[in-house]
Amino acid sequence: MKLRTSYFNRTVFKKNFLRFAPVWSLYTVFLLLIFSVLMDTEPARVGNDLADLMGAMAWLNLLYGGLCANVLFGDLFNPRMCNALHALPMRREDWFLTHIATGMLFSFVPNLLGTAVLFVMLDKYYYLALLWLAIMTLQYLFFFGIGTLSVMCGGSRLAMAAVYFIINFISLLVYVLADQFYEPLLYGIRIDSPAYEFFCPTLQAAQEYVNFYYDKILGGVFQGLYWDSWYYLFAIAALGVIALVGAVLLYRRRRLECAGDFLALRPLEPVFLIIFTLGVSVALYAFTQLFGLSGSYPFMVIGIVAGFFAGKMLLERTVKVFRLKTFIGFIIFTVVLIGSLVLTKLDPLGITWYVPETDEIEFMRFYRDNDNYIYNDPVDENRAVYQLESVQQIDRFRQIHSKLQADRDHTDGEICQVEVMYQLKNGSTVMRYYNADVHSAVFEDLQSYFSTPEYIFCTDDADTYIQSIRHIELDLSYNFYHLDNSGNIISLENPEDIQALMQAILKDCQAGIMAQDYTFHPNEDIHLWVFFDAAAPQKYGNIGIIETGRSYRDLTVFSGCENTLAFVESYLQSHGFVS
Amino acid sequence: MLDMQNVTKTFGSFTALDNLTMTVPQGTVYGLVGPNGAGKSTAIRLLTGVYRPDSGRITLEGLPVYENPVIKQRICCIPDEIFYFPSASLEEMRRFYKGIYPRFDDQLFERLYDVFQLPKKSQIRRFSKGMQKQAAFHLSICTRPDVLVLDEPVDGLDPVMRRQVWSLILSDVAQRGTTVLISSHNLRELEDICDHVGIMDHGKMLLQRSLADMQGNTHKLQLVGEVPEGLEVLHQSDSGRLKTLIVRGSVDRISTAVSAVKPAYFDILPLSLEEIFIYELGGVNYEVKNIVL
Repeated sequence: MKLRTSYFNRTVFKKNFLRFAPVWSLYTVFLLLIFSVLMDTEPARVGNDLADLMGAMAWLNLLYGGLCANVLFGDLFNPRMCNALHALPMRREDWFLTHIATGMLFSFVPNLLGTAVLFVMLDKYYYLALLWLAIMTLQYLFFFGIGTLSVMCGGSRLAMAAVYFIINFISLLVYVLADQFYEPLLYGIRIDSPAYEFFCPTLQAAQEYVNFYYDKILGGVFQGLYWDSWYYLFAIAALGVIALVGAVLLYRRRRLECAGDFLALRPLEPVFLIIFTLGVSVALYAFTQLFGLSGSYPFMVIGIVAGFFAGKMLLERTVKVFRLKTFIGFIIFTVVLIGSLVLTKLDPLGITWYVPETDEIEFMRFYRDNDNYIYNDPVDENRAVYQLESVQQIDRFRQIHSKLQADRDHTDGEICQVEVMYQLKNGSTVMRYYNADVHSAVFEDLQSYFSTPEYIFCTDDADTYIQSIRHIELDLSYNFYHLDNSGNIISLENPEDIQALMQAILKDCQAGIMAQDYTFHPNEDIHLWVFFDAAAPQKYGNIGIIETGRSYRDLTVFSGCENTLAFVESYLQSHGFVS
Repeated sequence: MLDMQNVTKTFGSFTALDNLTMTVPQGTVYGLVGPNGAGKSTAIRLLTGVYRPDSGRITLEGLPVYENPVIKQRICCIPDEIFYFPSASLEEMRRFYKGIYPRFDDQLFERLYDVFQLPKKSQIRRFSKGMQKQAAFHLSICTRPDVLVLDEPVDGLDPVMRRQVWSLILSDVAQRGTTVLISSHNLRELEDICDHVGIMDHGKMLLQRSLADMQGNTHKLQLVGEVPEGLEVLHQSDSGRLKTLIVRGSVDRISTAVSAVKPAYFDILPLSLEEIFIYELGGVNYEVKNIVL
């Protein structure tokens, strides 16, 4: 007798739906509750809110996808149930595909119902409802796929949950680990968060998918798709399918006697132990930060001890893990970890000493990155930027860069923080971050850069900018000791006066004393604020420039800026502002 | 014929079954006995296709059991620890079994309500242990299996229900030629219903043959006098001049050997299954004294 080959069992399918009705019912009710909150007489407003909600649903699907996988395949974690069910005349593929079909419908059916409701609510924007269904299904496919794969790796519900969250947030763990424990040992190098965010599917799936903006005043709707989010969504959905394929392969090989063990796959045990141990270290560190405690390395040590032995207890399901073999494992782990930290500090590859060769560099920029910076630069929010393109300029700065690398013992006190960016000809970017001691020689070199007119006016063409200045205001209210402290603001509109003042400022720039940062003027008082109104186009200009053709800059003049102050004093006297 | 050839199964570093060979002839009632931890339950899980063997073959009528629904629908198992879906009633389990086992007999199921008298709509998990066992029989027999595998089947059943259940099973064997494999520690009960017996220990099959052969091959010899040489003595105890020996061999062979030494008195007595079990295992260091503190 030959059975028809079908990998779907209707009885199990129906049983799943009935048995886990509370799960999908709750999800359905939750969806309907959300939609009831969105309800509005104006369909565009519903669309507006719905567009915002689509990404956020990734967090719900993260929980729901994992939960569905956990409950549907949860019988694998119970030895008695597992044995009883697998004695029935069904292949594992039958069980698997029937559960997968049910699981997918656990999301699709409630969302289909939700889509029908949204159709009514959205009226002519009904296509948003279809987008909703597509996004929810694809998000869920990923999370359910990863959840199912986690089930096949785990031997218990707790392990499944642990594996599931490790897979979803491993990049976050790696980032925090690198950021907290390794980055401080790599002088000048910072680990950027975008890299970990890219590899964190939950964060990426929680991005916006639809740009649907309802302008109440204009009464119009602006709409479009964020294609990057969609590409990522398709990619993770494909990953979900791959995870399901991986899961069925693991299921076919699964030893059912592992039901009740922590992990189903023994080779995963050391991997889990390492990740768990590091995770506990990171969690402990983050937890202590909440209470304002500092010192990451002591907490790392405590976390390693606690994490390693707690992980071992979980794996072996006993507290009796304090054996010689375990201690040997712990020592090996600790030695490897500390060794990696020491290696990072020693930097045998010379990563922290690396400066790109001049002929490799397309251009370079450097920034001041400090709260001491005086004004809010419109170019890049709170900081000014300086770009070098010529070979001579770049070559000169490379020498300063080498000095910055050598002067690496200054981490606090009077320091000046500098960011350096090299855009290489091969398309890659090198970023470095340094602290320069304000009393060091390299600081003086930097000061000359930060005093250049290009830097203080945030322009790549200072001459054009200076020529285009139409109007200058001198604010005398700030402790200008030569004058009456009258608080007056004096306008300069005569082009000759303007250019004369600018020449005085340029002299101070050349003297390297015009840097717009309190760090560079530790013992000097502020004597004058100068406001410029210029019409020059700015390479790094803000939106205001584009719209008005004008830009506004302000400049703080310190008591050391002798040329500028001398001009101002003579100007005030010649124009009768002071006696 | 349910056949297990050279099957080995390990759990980590522990070998649960070590090259086990077992043959359950068709239409027989086979009793699988052995001390705790002998590997009986593991063997049953392998025979019912739950576990995959590390090596060896498990077949029913020449076809592999593992991951073979065609064969597995002819095998029904009542494990030692029965498990139903939480909150399932007997009626719900009937519907489930009906969807899984193509040969499920609804009419028989209805008739068996008179035998077991279990509530149809109540949740099975609220039943007593004995009632849950009855529910398992109720369901399993209705799948009309060719092979019924039972692990400690009548534990928790009252004497009347025990008799009822055995009667049902034996009538099924008689009517349909069902093969029954029973794992049990109740050797007196097995002796009444089994026609084949296998004794396991430490994952190995010590002995398997028909009960008649087994009882005809091991005897209790009581004698006053010298013990003849050449007898395969499994156990010996002395009470004054009276020696009691458990001896392997036929009555004729033993009688001839004993007569040759002309004892003052001798008698050859049959052994119960329980005595065979105890003395066979005594030979592999599992004597009664070892488990009596």
